[in-house]
Amino acid sequence: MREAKPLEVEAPRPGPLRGPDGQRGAPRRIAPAVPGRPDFGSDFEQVVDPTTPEFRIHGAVFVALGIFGYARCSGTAVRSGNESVVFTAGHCVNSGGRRGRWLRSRWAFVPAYRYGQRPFGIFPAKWLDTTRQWRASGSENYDVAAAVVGRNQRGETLGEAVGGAGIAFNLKPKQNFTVHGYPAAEPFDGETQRVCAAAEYLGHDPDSFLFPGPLNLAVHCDVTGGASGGGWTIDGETLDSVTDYGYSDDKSPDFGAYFGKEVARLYQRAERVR
Amino acid sequence: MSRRIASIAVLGLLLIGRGTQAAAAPALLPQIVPPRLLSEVGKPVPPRPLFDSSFTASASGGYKVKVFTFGSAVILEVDRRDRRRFSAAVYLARGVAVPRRLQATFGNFGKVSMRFRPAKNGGQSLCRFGERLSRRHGTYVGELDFKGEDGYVAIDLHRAKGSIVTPAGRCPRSRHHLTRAAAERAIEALLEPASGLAANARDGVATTSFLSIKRKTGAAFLAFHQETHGKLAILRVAIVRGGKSFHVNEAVTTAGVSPPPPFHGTGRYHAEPDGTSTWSGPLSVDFPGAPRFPLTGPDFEALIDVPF
Repeated sequence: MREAKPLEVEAPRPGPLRGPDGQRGAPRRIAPAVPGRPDFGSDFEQVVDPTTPEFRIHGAVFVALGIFGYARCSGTAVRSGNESVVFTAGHCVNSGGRRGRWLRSRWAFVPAYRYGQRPFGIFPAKWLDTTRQWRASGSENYDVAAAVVGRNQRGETLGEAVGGAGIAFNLKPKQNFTVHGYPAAEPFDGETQRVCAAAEYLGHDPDSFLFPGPLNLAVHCDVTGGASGGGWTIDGETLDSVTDYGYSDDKSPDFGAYFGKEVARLYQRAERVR
Repeated sequence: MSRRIASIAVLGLLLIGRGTQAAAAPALLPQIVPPRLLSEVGKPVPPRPLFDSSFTASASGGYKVKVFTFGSAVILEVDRRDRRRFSAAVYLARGVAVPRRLQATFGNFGKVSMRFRPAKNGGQSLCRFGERLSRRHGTYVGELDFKGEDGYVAIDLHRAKGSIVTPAGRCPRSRHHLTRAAAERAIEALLEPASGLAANARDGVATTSFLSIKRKTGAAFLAFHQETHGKLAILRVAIVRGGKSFHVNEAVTTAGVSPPPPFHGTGRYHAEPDGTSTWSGPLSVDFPGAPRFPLTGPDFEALIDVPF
């Protein structure tokens, strides 16, 4: 993410296992963002109620790092046969390249997370994988990962609890994206879901030309560390990219990997896991 | 970044570093180095190529054109240089980048499709930074047809002498061993204080940077711009050493700079009491293919750093 920090370490924030207002979130139509309240002057606006159907498929990813707290990323639940697939950034599960290290220990997805609240429970990963090229080369053009998660404390699968986004491959790069995520680095705190609505495709990062893989995508969105892996959706709830990185200057676009053949293969591998 | 592009960027920094030491002033560096360059820190390094295929040819306008590969890109660089000045436009495209073949289309500017024919006795072994390289000389045959923006450079050739360089192990340590005195000199140079004035602008994936460095040994100026057009990325750089560096008032609230050619005009920095600043004036630079490219305006964020 910003300044190329792949993960942002946060102190653990234990919170009650209940929904906002003390109950499990029932589907409600609430405006996705707070109109007229552009906090910090950012276009990454706070989602008022992340438990609504269109937002609860997105969540925060926590990777326990022992005494170092938690690393933070974002992820999106995706429809699949096993009802348990989460898509995120490659560097949220493996540091990339041939010497890349796996972050397998205690990786969990918390959909609709907000201020310590876990309205749909915690879904611990039971299987993690990235694109083969992310592991082979560390090329950011392939910085995508998938997790297959177990059931939550209530015994529900992820699909039963929150549903899942559709997923698309090999589309034209030029799309209007909605970028979701849980930015944890300043000026954000990682406690709320944020969304950049109608983020237009801006082009490719010139660096992307040098790395193997399809050229990545750029949109304007004020992401910071922790938003890595956040889903880019099109046409409502179809996942078409995830946040990978940004640069340190304020006006830097958000860059995400193109979902092509290799990501489709990753999805197929994840879907086969039982 | 490609080694070549990196060399351009690093050249700028070295230029600064050699005569200046921007690299040295830890507090200064993060502020004056264009974010585009700083951002490379911590990012994965592009895959190290197993080969370096390249050829160079003279072109119109006094430019040299070099075509080479790096990572997954085929790169065409148009540059012109003398003792104090260096300017280049670098076009990056995806294509076929295998040792004996260079093939890519550079948008509407042209294309390259060349095959390498090795010379019978063209082998050579050399050492670079402790690495042994095997260079195979030969001739590239095919077609290079390229015409830059508004025809600032044009080249149409079918044969060019070139080479393929491949790694061949390591060189003996003694060949690249830094003496202690040399290392101390390098560290001293890095620690010499410098003043810097930088201005950066971003518009989507396009970025523009201007950098002026003042050191005891002289001044240096760098301008950098990058943009992408579909499946083509274009980087432009201009570097000049010498000339009169920026002047700044005692309160460090106003500054002005009038770099030598290929720069034109003056850039003016003005800081407000609330910490905001403006960067204005008719300062521009002649990049290859982009003459009189503006380097000031409301989109620029400028900052100045003058050591106590």
